[in-house]
Amino acid sequence: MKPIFSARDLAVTQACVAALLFILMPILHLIDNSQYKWLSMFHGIGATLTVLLSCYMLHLIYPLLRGKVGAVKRLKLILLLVNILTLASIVTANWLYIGYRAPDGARQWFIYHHPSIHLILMEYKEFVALFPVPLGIGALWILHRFGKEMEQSSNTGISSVVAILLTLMWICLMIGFVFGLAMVKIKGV
Amino acid sequence: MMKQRKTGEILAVFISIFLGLSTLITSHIWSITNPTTANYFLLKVGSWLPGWWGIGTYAGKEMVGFIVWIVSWIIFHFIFKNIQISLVKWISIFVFSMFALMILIWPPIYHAIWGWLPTKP
Repeated sequence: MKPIFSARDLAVTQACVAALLFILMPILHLIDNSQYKWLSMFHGIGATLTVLLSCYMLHLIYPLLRGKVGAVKRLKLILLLVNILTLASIVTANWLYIGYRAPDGARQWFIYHHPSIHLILMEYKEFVALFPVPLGIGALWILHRFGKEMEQSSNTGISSVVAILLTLMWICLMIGFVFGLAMVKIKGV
Repeated sequence: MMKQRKTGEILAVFISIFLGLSTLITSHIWSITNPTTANYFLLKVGSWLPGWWGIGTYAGKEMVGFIVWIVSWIIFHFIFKNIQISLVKWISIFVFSMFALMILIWPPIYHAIWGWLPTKP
């Protein structure tokens, strides 16, 4: 018997449900009463969207490695969006960092109550979360310069270079996301 | 027939990413080991950013990393654009060095290397 619905439709529906529920995490901070509530929501929504879209971007690497027609063009568009979202998240992150460092802010609370949290999570996250910028922009540049060649012949190693850059980018985005969530769970800004 | 681009451009991307991120990490270590000189410089470099007064030296660390990344990318692009490289070799070196940076910047690791107390930033 023919399946009742296509695998593609089911996958898209599952991804949409996952995305909606993940986006709810920062939005539910609306109930919070912090002075930096709106800013932390902006940063949370931006970071969540970045990670969600980067997961989709990661799936576009597979058709690229297999040399499918049109793979370069699609990956380029999504990667451009991920880069823009990453930069936007970094802007809101810097903004929110003012609140983190403010007197009686989260930083002082951590240093007073749990110095290891500030050290193990925040001091690491603030640097690793910057790594995706050069990795993503570098990959976009390579796609732009070598895109035509990659579409004409699939036997170049350049798609592997792009795949490695984007995988490293995704790992760094996930580190920033997970460490950020872990910190907010203990003490929000 | 389209002109084939040389893979040296990819080497320029790899090296500039590594240099930019190394500078970011080095500036952080520098601001801990020699705060009087480093923080003065880093605050100055970052002072054009909106909100730098609250972001502190982190704004300067971002700026020096960014500048080294972009400038070295432009320079290496024109140096390497006419050569062919071994992609397998350079991918391995790049992945190894990126993971090395990611391990080195974890505070418990660099604190252990320099023997710093956990109260240091």
